[in-house]
Amino acid sequence: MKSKILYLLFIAVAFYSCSDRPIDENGLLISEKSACYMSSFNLVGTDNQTVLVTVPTVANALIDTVKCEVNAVARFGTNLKKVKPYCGLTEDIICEPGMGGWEDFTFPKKYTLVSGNRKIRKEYTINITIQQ
Amino acid sequence: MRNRICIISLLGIMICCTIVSCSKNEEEQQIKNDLIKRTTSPLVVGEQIYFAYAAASMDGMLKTMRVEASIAGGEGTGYEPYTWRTGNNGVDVSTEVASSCSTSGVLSEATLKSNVQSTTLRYYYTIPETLRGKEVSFVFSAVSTTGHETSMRTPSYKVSALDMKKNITMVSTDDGARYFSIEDMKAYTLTEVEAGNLSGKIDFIYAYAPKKSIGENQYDYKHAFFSPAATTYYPDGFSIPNSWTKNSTLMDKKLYVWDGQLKNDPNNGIYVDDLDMQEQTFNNSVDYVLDIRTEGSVFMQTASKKYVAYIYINKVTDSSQTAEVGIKRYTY
Repeated sequence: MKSKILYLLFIAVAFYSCSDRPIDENGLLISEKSACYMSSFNLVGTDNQTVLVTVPTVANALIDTVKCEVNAVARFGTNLKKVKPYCGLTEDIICEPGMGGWEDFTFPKKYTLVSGNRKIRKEYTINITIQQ
Repeated sequence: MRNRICIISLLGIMICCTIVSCSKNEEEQQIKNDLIKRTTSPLVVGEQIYFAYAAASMDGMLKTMRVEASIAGGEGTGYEPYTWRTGNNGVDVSTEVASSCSTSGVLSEATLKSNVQSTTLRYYYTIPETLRGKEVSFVFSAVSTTGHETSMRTPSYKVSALDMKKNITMVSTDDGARYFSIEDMKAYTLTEVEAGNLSGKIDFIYAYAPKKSIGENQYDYKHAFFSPAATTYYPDGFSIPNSWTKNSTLMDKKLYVWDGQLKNDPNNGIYVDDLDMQEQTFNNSVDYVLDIRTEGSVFMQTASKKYVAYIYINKVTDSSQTAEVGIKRYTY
């Protein structure tokens, strides 16, 4: 009898935890967090080294979380048609489209951040210029 | 009665088989051999494949050790007459164990001294041009003074289609060897390019300059490769004659993509091989690279798309304005 009760309790807990931790269509956790901002941004070249003179962060004000803008300067000679973007995100935020592939940054590019609870969406614009 | 005859016959056959197999095992054990292929790098034409072949006689001395290659090797193919061991001080010590070593066509042979019961010999096979992109295999064998023989066949090894050249020094001075032809795998001086009318063959130029001026500003330039067509990225004060063909060679800069062969480091097990060249894509690539560094590298595709090259940078030196490079080249 005791073991049956324990078994039922286990199933109930399992159901509860599943329903309490929803995941999205990509298997990512949907949490209760509402923060939605980019904390850092970087671009690397074909040698996997940064091409930026200064890596933008919220702290150095090169990321404006109010205007949702990232402004950075790439070194002289950078081939902006073939760079890989990366950004720092916390609090279960996701980025659409995903970063990490070869991209052309010769013109401003837009990425949408979505909060952990999937209720807030912010479109960030990345502006890169080259030393010239 | 018939059953009894059958049973006796079967027993007889079994006993015979057992005796035969025992004698075979006994024969096999009179001489033993083993083999290690020591070369782990891509097999490039002109380079050597290095094997260590060991043999031991149980009932006599070793007489000869042989190798038969599927295709005759180039100059330098053959056994070394020495066996090697590592001394207590960590230094390798050699002992001469073969009275003669010879190579004729596909066959290499070492005749051992009369007192050698077991030994390991090094065999080097120089990869000939005829093997480019093809396969080669070997049969190693040893014979003892008692007439016993043993042998070992290797798998087939695929030879790379790559060309390779090491230790090319480029100099960033007016009369320095800085004009590089991937087709010739050689750096030319200005005088040589002019005299031989070779501008059409020049795929990239090497330069060193700490900074480059753009308007009022100065930016880092350092050691650079640029195509003759990449005029915006010439260092300050540099020009080439208007009459020259200005090729545009696509380039992708890499860092920490080593090559054990070009790096001259046999302990570095990282190599660029045919597959790396075949899989290189140059979408959105440019025709120059700035700030190249020691142990960096650059993948290049010539304007004709005939060649993909991997340029490994062994060393760059600011004071002498030089770059020592090596090249691996894949031909389409």
